[in-house]
Amino acid sequence: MTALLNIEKLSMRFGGLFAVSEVDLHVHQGEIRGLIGPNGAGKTTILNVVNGIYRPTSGSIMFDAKKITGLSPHVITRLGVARTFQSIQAFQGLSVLENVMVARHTRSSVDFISTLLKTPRARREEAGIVDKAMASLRFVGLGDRKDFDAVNLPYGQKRLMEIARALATEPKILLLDEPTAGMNESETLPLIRLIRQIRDQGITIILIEHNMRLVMDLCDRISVFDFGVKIAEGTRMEIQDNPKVIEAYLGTGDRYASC
Amino acid sequence: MGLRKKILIAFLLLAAAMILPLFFKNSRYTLNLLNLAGIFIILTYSLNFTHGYLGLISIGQAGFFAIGAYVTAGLTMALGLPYFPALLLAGVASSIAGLLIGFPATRISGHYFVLITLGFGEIVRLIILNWKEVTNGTNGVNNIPAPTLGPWVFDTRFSYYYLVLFFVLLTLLVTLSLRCSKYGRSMLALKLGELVATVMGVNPLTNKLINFGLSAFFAGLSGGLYASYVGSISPEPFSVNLSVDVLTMLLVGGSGTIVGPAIGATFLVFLKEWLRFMKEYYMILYGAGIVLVMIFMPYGLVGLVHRIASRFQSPSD
Repeated sequence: MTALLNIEKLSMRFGGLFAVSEVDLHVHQGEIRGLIGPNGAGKTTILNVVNGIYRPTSGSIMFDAKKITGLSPHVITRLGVARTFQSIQAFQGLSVLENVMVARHTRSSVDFISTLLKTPRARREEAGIVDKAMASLRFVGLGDRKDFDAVNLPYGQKRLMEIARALATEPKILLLDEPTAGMNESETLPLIRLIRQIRDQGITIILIEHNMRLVMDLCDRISVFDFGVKIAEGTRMEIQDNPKVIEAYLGTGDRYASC
Repeated sequence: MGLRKKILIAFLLLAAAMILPLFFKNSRYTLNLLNLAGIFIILTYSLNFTHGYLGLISIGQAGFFAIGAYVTAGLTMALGLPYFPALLLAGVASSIAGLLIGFPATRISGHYFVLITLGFGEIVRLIILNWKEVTNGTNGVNNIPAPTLGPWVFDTRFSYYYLVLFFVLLTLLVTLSLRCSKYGRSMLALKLGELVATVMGVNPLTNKLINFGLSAFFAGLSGGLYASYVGSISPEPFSVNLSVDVLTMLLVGGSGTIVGPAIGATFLVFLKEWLRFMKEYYMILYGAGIVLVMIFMPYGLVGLVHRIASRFQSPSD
């Protein structure tokens, strides 16, 4: 079986620095894949390239048997790639519901003039947008927060709203960039359950995370990065004992000793 | 505020707007100001689409206004078209110009976008000034006929008020409809975080182009209303000063709000008149006022009202 996401020899250079270098990554349908590694290892850069935010220096990305390298972000989203960000990226000033509704634009088709004139078709579509957005919000447990200004949500709920927003695009794959960053233990546990539920709906997940317990708990396979290179990959047992991984995380003592 | 209350207030305001000119039936001066305010309200709403929904500052709105004015004059006088089709076509022509500058402008942001719009406004003015065969240059176009619709002729200031009011309401309805539509949401999302919006599936190019087209359409419409109202047009009033005035009206009223543009335009049209006794010194006061608004009222008069109102309400959660 071919993988849902096939990344071949992906390199991303900023000036003279290779943020990602010759990375291969194959993520299968229904899998939860963890990307781990020290800060600056190039994990977020990989997601940004998959999303089309960056155009890779070289290499190719196949998603769902389509080449998506070089496509615009909104096109890639329509093909079924959704994303949350490391830092909160709510549309502040829009309500929680509207934040999620924005993500339905890519799944709607009524033209501008009909929308403005509120034709029956446009009304039906708008009602559908509300329904789907509400379903997403209820799924993450924010159904009762729909009318809040997104600014006023507590931190953890803002993160949940962003997951709801990403799910509202109806993705085949969901890229989660440090979903628990800044969350406390009591907020993290429900999130683990939620991520499992998302996978159980058939959505493949790529997860960047520093919380090792969560990674080990959730991920089917884990890819480890250091300085833009993939240094290890496998199940949690396989990578836990990998000497390269231990070195990247703990260091060997001579890593920064230069003179 | 509940929906019912909002609708009630809207109806009361509409009724007030309908009977307002009855009080000034004998004051041609006041009626003139009201009509000009109405025309500027539409122009300010046109800029509100671009600034309020995309966060982009345009100082070329006078260009679209001028296109609307000259196309309306040309179509009614040279081609003998009835007024309302001519006005619609003027809006469309202006819209096409909006799309044309939209193509380069959507690829550019920040200061460069402002410069493109500035350049556009000046180009339009210079074309009007120099294309004498069509626009009659500095002499301008005179004796533009008053709008007629069947048996009605809008040739008095009093009757023109209702014509302008109709188009103000149309503009307002479109603004409301946009705000509650998927396009309005997408545009706001682009304003609040373009990159994130794109990753959430919003196409930045089409949404911006639609926005520019819509904005230019209403600017053209107000230009057409202006041309047949004043009866003669020349390149002079369509300068960058006008564009800056409109931007000021928008910011003073409250950009991105539903009623802000109307309040800002009306306020400044009347303020300019009240400050007329100061002759050219009024610009000093006017300028200082704008600076103060920018610093202390970032959301304009509407934002100020909201702030005061929320102070009197107990905080609710």
